This record gives sequence, C-alpha cells and structure tokens, in this order.
Amino acid sequence: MIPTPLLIMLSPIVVFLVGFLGEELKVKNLREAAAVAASAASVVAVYMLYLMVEAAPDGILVFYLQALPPLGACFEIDMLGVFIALSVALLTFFATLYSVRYMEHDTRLTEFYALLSAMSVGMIGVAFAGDFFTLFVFWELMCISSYVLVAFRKEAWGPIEAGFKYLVMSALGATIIFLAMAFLYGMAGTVNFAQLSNALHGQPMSMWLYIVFGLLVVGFGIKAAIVPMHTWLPDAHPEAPSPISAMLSGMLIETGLYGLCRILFLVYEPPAFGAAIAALSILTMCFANLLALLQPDIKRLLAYSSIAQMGYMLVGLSAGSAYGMLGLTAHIFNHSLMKGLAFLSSGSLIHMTGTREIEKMKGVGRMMPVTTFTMFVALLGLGGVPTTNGFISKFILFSSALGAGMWWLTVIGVINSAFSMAYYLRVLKILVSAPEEGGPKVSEAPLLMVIVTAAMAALIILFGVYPAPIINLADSASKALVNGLGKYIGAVLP
Amino acid sequence: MSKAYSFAGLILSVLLFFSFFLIVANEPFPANSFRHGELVPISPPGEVGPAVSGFLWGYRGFDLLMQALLLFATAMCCIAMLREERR
Amino acid sequence: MNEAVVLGSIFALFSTGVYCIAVKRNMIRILLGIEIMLNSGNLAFIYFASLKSGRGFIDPLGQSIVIMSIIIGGCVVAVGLSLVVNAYRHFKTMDVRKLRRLKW
Repeated sequence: MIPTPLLIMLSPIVVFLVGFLGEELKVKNLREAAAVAASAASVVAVYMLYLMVEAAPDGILVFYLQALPPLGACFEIDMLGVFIALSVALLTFFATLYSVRYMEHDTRLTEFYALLSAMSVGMIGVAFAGDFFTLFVFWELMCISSYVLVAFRKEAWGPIEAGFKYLVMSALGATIIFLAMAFLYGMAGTVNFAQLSNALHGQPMSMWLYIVFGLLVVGFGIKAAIVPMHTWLPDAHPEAPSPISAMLSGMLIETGLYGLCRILFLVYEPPAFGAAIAALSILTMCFANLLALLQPDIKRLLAYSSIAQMGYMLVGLSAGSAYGMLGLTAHIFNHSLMKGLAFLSSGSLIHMTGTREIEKMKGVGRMMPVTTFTMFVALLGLGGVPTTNGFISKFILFSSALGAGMWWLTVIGVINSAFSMAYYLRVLKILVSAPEEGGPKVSEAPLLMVIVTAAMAALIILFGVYPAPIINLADSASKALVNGLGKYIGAVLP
Repeated sequence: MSKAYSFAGLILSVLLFFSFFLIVANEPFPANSFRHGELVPISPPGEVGPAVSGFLWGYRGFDLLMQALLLFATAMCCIAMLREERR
Repeated sequence: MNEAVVLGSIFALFSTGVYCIAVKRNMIRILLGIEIMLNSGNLAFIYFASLKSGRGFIDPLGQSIVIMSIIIGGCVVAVGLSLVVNAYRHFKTMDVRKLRRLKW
C-alpha cells in the first residue's frame, strides 16, 4: 500500500487551507509557518524513504494502490529517485524560507506558497514514478504550477510575456512526450517502465525507435533547456521572482534531464544515443557560454549559465557509463545548491538595490559583505574552482568522457568551463569595486535571507572539502540506473 | 445601404422559415422505407458507467488521485492569476 | 491500408498543431494548437489500444489514459487563458507578435 512518508503529496492542500485560515482569522505569519513546516516535513519524509529504500531487498520499493503494477499505476522508488527527490526537497526548503522575507510585500501569498508546494510535489512525483503515465501526470502538475509562478507578479508586463512564452513552449514539450508515450504504448502494449524495458531493451534500432528517440529528446529537451529548444529560459528566469528562479534553474530543468536519462537507459542502450547526445552537449555548452558574455542583466546571465551547466551534464550522459552518470547525478545536486545560491544572493542584491543590471551595482559588495561573499562562493563553484563541490562533479563529468573515448568532448568541456569564469569574474569585479558617487547606497539584506544564503554557502564549501556523503549517494544512484536494470524489472515483473 | 441589405436578408430568412413548414406539412419523411435487410437487434451495453469507473479506480486509482491534485493546482493557478487585490 | 490512414491522420493532426503554434498570431489560436496536438496523442492511444487485442474489445488502459489526458489538456488551456486575460490587460492586443519587449 502507500507508506506514510508519501502523505507529503497532500501538502499543497494543507498549506492552502492553513494559509486561508490564517488570512481570514488575521493571524500573522500563519501561512508562512505552514509553508516552511510543509517543506521541512517533505525533507524529513524523503529522508525516511531513503532509509526504507536502503533497507529494502534489491534497493527498490514498489507502491501501488489497488491493482498490481504492470497494469496498475505504481511508484517504483530506487536510489536515483530518492537522490533527485532529496535535492528537490532541500532546495524547496531553502527557497520557501527565503521567500518568507523576499515576498512579504506581495499579494496573493497563500496561492504562492500552495503552488510552490505543488511544484515540489510534482517534482518529487516525477522522480518516484514507475509508470510513464504517472510520470506524465506529475510532470503536468509541476509544469502548470511553474507557469503561474513565473508570471506571478502580474502587475508588470515582463512576467506575463515571459510566462506566456514559457507556457507555449513547455506545453509543446509535454505534448511531444505524450505522443512518444503513445508510440511506446503501441510498440510494447504497456506504459509501465519495467515492462517497457523488458520488451524494448536490446532490440535492434529500427526507424520507429529512432522516431521515438527524436520525440523524447525534443520533448524532454524543451524542459531541460538543451540548445535548439532553450529559448524560453532566458526570458522566464529573469522575470520570475528570485526564489522561483532558484527553483526553476536549480531543479526544474534537472528534472527534465532526469526524465530523459531514465527513459533512455530503460529503453535504449548507451551506444545508440551517445553520439547524438554528445553533439547536443557541445552545441549547448558553446552557445550558452558565448551568449552569457553579452548579458547586462544579472539574472539573464545566470540563466544562460544554467543552460551551459546542462551542457556539462549532457557530457556525462553521452559517456553512457556508470561513472558518467555519477558525474551527472552529483552535478545535479551540486548545481541545485550552487545555482540556487546564486539566484538567491542575486535576489538579495536586487531586493536592496532595486535594479537587475550588473553595471548599476558597482560597489554594492562593500555595503553588503555577507551576500557578496555567498555570491562569490556560488559563482566560483559554478566555474569549478577547487574546494567547492562544483569542481568535483565537473572533474568526474569530464574524466568520464575521457574514459568513454571521447577526448574531444573533454577538451571542449574544459575550455568552456574556463571560459565561463570570464563572466562570473566580471560580476564579482563589479560588485567589489569602489562605489561611485551617484551609485546605490544600501544596507545588508534582511536577516532571514542572509541566514539562508550563508547556510547554502556553508554547504557548498563543506561538500567541497568533504564530498564523500554526496559522492557515495550519487554512486549508488547511478549504479542503480545503469547497472541495476535487472533488479528494476525484477521488482515489478516476477 | 447596409440597412437595406440586412432588411432584405431578414425578409428572405422569414420566407425561408415559413416555406419549410409549407413543404413539410404536405408529405412526411420516408424514414426506413428504402432499407434492404433486417434491423439487427443489438442490446445496449447495459451499464457502461460503473464498468469504466471500476476499471479506472481499480487499476489507475493513483493517477486519478493525482489528477484531483492537479485540478486543485489549476484552480489555485486561476485564482492567483485572476484575483484583484487592492492594497 | 487502415494503419496508413490512421498513422497519417495522427501526423496530420500533429503537424496542424505545430503549424498553429508556429504561424498563428492570435494567442488563443496558439493555445488551441496545443489542444490539437494533444488530440493527436489521444488518437494514437486509442488506435494502438484497438490493435492490441483484436478480439472485439479495446484495451481499457488506452481508453483510461485518454480520459485522463483530456482533463490535463483542459487544465493547461485554463491556465493559458488566464495568462491571456492578463496579457490583454497589459498589451491591449491579442497579437503575440506585439509581445516583443523582452530582447534576447
């Protein structure tokens, strides 16, 4: 049956009801407390599920309501699902805590916290789904909440325009995934992942399998911001409120990449998709790094940087080995922390200075030292400087490409990574330079925002010098995906 | 000029409406008079509703519950986008 | 022959949806393009469900997935229309080519 930790799926309803009561009865801060409590509860629940998965035979848990899995809908939770859900829950907790202070002057806050909770429930459900249609339902839950969260500050024209364009492209991607699901159902007669894998894994590639591969790459690639399909991202990220940008860039696009990885490893074999994914990754890295140099707006620069980091993760996917997937999963966790911290600290800067342009923030660093230090840590981690966790995951990613024989991919990746430091250092240089005469005069950000960003920076440095917990967890996650296919199928089919 | 056209159109449609009744009053419609074979008796499927519900809740109950959560989230979205608050 | 007709109509519906999203200017027509594409997926599900058993009944899994996907399509269009209402308030037009203020 359904275990107790999965009751967090009901948290959007709880947050909405408690928030509504708080607004009606005029109790101050009740809805913020409910939202933070719900996100903390989801972290605890995912941790409990992690313990249950470790204790289970074969390391896989299967949950269903009434009917047995191959025909009925089910959750099939393995180590990779738990890892992604843990990253989602952690980032949601930080973003919710941050938005208590950041969004305090906005209206319609009950709906904001309920939708934030719904988006995180959707992402956790995508990580746990054992059935393609269950994944689709949670995918749509995650997407629909994110459309409105991007367009949340509807009094300005920017978020509405960005939200509409994001909606059209993302709904297009979801429909392409649905069509790919229909073709897989036609070929194998089922939508269950284990049964699909049993039927289609190892078959010689025919034209229809190539068509389905193309549809899957385009459909998931629209969400994962792979380059020809990335055009919604540089508009949606700057216009969204900062905690939502952190969630979008930190975990939403990674969830798209997780969906792609899961289905590619289940249905296809690594040599079949390695070359195509390598080509896409080179295109993504180079294009995004070049365009990031030209951006005057700090959040747009970070958005292009997210696209480039997706390119690095695709290097790990194209290697096709467990080591490459180790780099990918470790980088998913690290990138969620680093990019989340970068967006949250830039949110603090924007909140105090009132502008998004980097040139106008000259000298702000000396007036907001803690926030600038956390921005420093985040940007150095994104560039891959040693003693931050970004260095370790990038190292694993690029050396896995060497191990798979694609040395040109490693060379291009390292060049891009070094190139990206150029625009990160430009931001830092402007922040710490001497203040101008007519420049902004600001004080440090509110205490809660500073505490959240400082905690995330501490985690980045901690996992940089002591990466063992994350690497061990990512290792078992990637082995569960690449090598554990037999166990995945065996847990559902006898 | 367009007023004359709309008046003419009105007259034409009223005439058409009444001419329909003039034709129909004379001769009934020859339903089923040119058919060849026998009418095949097919019994109606009986209860379709409970059978579909039974399958949906029995095999896909989890998806239906998550669909309900999705509908709740859509209601939240529409409220968040369309609510007017004066502060 | 039958299979070619149905697969051809699935691709025709899909490309009609893509054409609507790519070419049309009115925002509501773009949202309808998304609906048309979802309907092509629904047709594919029903057709493959009918192929599966060939014994006179159609696989119930395909039908239940289509029932639920129609609801999902409705939800996406509902949220899209609420965004269109807000966009009309700001831009005073339904022309998506006027929404060009965000540069690259």
